[in-house]
Amino acid sequence: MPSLAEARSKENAFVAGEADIIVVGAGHAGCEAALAAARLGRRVILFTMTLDSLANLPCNPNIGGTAKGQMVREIDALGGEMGRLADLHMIQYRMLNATKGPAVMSPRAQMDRTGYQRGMKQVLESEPLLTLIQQEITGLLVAGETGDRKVEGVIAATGSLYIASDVILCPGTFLDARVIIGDSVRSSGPDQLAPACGLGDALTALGLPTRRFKTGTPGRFHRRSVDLEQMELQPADREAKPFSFENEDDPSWRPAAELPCYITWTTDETKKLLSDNMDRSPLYSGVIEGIGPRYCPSIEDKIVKFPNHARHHVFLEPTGLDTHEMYASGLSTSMPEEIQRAMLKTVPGMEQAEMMRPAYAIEYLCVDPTVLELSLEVKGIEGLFLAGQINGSSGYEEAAAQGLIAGINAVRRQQDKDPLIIDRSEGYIGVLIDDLVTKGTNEPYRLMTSRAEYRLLLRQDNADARLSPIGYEIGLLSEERWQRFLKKQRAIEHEKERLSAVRVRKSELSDRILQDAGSTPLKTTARMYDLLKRPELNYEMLAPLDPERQELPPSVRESVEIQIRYEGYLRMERDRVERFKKLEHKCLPSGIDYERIRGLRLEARQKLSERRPQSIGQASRISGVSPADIQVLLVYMEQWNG
Amino acid sequence: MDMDTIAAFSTPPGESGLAVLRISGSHAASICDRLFVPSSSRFAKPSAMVGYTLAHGYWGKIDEVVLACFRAPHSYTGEDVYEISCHGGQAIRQAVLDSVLAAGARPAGPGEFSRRAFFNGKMDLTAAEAVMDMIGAQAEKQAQAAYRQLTGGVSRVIHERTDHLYGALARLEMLLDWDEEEERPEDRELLVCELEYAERELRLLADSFAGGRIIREGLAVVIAGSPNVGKSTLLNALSGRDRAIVSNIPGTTRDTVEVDLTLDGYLVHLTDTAGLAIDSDDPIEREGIVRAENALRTADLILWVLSPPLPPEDERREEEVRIDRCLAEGKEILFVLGKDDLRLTLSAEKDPAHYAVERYPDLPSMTWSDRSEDDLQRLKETLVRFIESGSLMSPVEGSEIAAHDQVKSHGEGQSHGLLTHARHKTAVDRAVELVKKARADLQAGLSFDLVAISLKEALTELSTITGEDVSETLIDKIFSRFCIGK
Ligand SMILES: Cc1cc2nc3c(=O)[nH]c(=O)nc-3n(C[C@H](O)[C@H](O)[C@H](O)COP(=O)(O)OP(=O)(O)OC[C@H]3O[C@@H](n4cnc5c(N)ncnc54)[C@H](O)[C@@H]3O)c2cc1C
Ligand SMILES: Nc1nc2c(ncn2[C@@H]2O[C@H](COP(=O)(O)OP(=O)(O)O)[C@@H](O)[C@H]2O)c(=O)[nH]1
Ligand SMILES: [Mg+2]
Repeated sequence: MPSLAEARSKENAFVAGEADIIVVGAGHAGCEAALAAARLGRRVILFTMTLDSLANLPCNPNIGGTAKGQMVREIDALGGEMGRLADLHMIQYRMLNATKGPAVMSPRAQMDRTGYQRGMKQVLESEPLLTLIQQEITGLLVAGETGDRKVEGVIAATGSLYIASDVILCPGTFLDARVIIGDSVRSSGPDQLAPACGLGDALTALGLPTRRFKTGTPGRFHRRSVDLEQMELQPADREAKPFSFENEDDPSWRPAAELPCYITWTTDETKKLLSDNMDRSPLYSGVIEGIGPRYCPSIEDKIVKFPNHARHHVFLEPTGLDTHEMYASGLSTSMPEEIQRAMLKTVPGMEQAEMMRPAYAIEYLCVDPTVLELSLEVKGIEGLFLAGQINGSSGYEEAAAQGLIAGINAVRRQQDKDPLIIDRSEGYIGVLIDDLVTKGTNEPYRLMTSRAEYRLLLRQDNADARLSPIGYEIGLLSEERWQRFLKKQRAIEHEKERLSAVRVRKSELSDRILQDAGSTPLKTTARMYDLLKRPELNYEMLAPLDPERQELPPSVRESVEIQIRYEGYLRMERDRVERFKKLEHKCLPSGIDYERIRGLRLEARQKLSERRPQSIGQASRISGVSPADIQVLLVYMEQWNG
Repeated sequence: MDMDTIAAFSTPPGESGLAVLRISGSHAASICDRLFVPSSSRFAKPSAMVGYTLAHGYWGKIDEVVLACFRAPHSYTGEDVYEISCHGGQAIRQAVLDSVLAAGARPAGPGEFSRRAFFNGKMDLTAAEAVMDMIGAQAEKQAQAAYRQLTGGVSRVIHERTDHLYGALARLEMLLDWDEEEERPEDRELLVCELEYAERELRLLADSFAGGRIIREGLAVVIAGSPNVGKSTLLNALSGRDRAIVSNIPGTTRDTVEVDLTLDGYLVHLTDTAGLAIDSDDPIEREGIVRAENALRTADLILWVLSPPLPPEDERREEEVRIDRCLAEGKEILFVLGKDDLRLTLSAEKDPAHYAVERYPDLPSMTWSDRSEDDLQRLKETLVRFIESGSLMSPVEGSEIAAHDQVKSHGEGQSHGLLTHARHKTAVDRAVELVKKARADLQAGLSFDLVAISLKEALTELSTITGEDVSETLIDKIFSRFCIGK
């Protein structure tokens, strides 16, 4: 690994550029990182393998979903780009889990894929301090010795050097990638894009532990060749809602389109065909070595693991406004083309399907994220940050969130400010990063609501309330937006106060309204506030009993309703958070020598020395560190402070 | 976290004259107030020591105790500390601890009193190091105990008993994270059913707490049977010394004979009884029989010895009545088919074992002869297994033990030896309450996300016993049970 001085002293050395921060990779992670850094006033160079494919959505072109939808709203609240762009290129909107409770209500939207990509390119190009360069990065400039290194820039495939004191690597699924379809194994990135070779070796040379993960995608089919009439229709929600606070409650905002999806099912024949040909699956023949995600199995995987399921659903989803390609969710596979084509014949409505892109599996190199600080900086290599799929995560939103945080923290490092760390009680972003960094992952990591301890607090409706203050303080939210945010919060508080003052008297009207809703009639009077707590009632229904009520923006009404209805549960959850925070705020000094702390068990000593957690809270989540070890640490810290 | 009130015995376990239960925390006074007659507030002066009766609704009056009170900050921990000195018998100690926990205290963790003392400035830095050592050492011991649990039958049973709960929460989480559709009525119904199962399983687990005492206090084994079947010989063989007089004159053992022995490190209290002959005129013998009956009542396990020759019809009937009575009281019985060496020459209808097996096909049995080292070994192994797993069944197929019934030995789920600490019991009890609440919430129409909170909390409580990572286990269950993904 050359240092800048070494590289420069070589014959014909050429320094092609210099910036405050270099971002390698213009996927969802890289774009957010570069934008955040540039918007915070840094000069940024963003590298991509090709300028024709920025912010690609190589799999299903949808953004959001359970936990992910909440996180897109969080990214927006911190001042990220994803929510805004998604609002512009949305071609179908659905609120998932609408009846299962506010904690799990999750927005998801289908994207116009190329529209999204073009949109991101425009945003990047119009950012004054950001330079976009098509150039493969094959090496890093690093000075210093193991354990005390410092990044100085990058080396491009052309041999040119680019200098920066902070480098954020976001190479996604491109590192030493291979694409696998049956017996065909080729060195390639997604969508026939060139793989990145060289950068992976540089990471290994730095001593970072790497491994290979795998993921896959189904084929794409021409709309005219699929018999959609035969399939079940899944319409968009009647009322679409934007991800971004900036479009919230704006009556003129509309999604670009409201296209439906279609559902069909595999059959016994599908099952038989795949079972009979399992020996041709690279997944089972051993060709694929990378570890795939359990939540995203290929169709042959589902048949092997769930032999009793008679059929599996297949969703046909639009992929854009400028194309007839349809994405067949559920048919992901790495079977040879021959089997893929035979399989289509067994799925009702797809018998004649024209396959425009075959399904494939892709294997790529990634890094064990436990080598990172919670800021996403690599431990022991000053200024080197990793974000996105390279950290073992999977998913556009997961990548974007990490990119945003890495971008912010690279800037803060240069400004000598404490890194921004969102904790597990503040956002899914915190859950995601803490899980990766503290626990590590053995498969491509996807966020799920069940990973959050304080799910009831991490809702989509309050993402702005949770994180806008941070976004504003960091400097990514405009003053105008901040004032609008404050106004919304005041409106919520005001309405809650008003509702607790409104008394509803027993009357014929109240009896009727309550009875119609299956609720018990009033004895004498009740506070409107308390009526809203009854699960069978809602704000809308009670309108006739509340004549003073003003028309409120929908987002304000939603927040008021949830805050009142779940008040008791929210309070309990907040109590738990308070206890959690106590340990989170007990910082462990970086120089601590765990070998010398008496009473720590051997395993705990090793794990703590290796991982070097930043707080007692983080230490408690490392596997192998027991509650008793934490008690020992608490005693030790007390002593240390004293 | 440190605000709650903790309790634990500060005297070591085992029989001793006096035991001291220490309660520390801001609620110590109110807990004692609730437990004592007369009200403790009258004597809640610093370090007052007065005799009082500890009473608690459920247990009634428990014991005459001495209560000492040390007000914060003038106490060991720097918090309000109450110390209850009660009589040292294990039943009393258990009842005292149970009632203190029921009144709102939480069992103390390793080194917790000392840790609180440290945080409240009651110790200097060198003392703190000692505290750290102690926590470390205790944790090591606990880790070893936990390891034993995880590798033994205990863990199997706990896993079995929490399986439905995991299943229910896995289904719920699957619906929340992966289903994406709106709720269907059948989702709710299915969950209610699953939670009913889960609750039942947890209750069985809670009921098995009695067995935890066995590990701490020893297993009470009583040898019963007609005169002259070889009971005293059995006791001598197990204890490895001639403790009871053996003779071929029926009724030789007139009093109960007690021996304490250890098997594989476990304490066993063995009691030999007078032969349970009927209609004895001898007052000494009659007294022996009464004592035998008393011993049977406190037994964790009865070795009921049946040996040839076949007793007369009326004696057999009488014996059956006694066996039935013990079973009705929920006693565990293992038939020891004695004098096996004589059995060879015996026709089935002359063998009492034959009748027993026929009449009590569900009870386990094993053959035994005082001439066989193997038999002794097998019996010892059976006792150890019973202590560890609560089951008399051999896990090895084809074992002679209870070959006629490999499935179950006794009332479903009475797994002795499962929960070894009061802490475990508290955790399981809390879990039961939380599951109950979740079910009620479901039935009341609350949304799934809220129901999930109680269920996850229940599993978290249980994970304090198993050391499992709830989140990870849950995710594993979701992926292994449900076909998820695009
Ligand atoms: C086939 C396939 C299937 C997938 N399926 C799913 C799925 O089912 N569910 C799911 O959640 N996610 C899936 N994903 C993952 C999702 O696409 C990624 O998680 C997400 O795009 C990662 O974002 P990223 O920013 O980390 O990297 P990417 O979006 O991969 O972007 C990487 C960027 O880095 C650039 N780059 C790479 N190396 C270099 C270099 N050396 N020099 C210069 N530029 C470089 C590339 O040009 C690109 O711009 C799938 C991905 C693929 C390819
Ligand atoms: N053959 C044989 N005799 C035994 C066995 N066990 C005990 N005996 C004899 O049976 C008689 C009664 O034994 P004892 O232990 O006093 O019986 P108890 O009255 O039930 O206590 C003694 O003579 C023993 O030696 C055995 O396994 N086989
Ligand atoms: Mg005897």
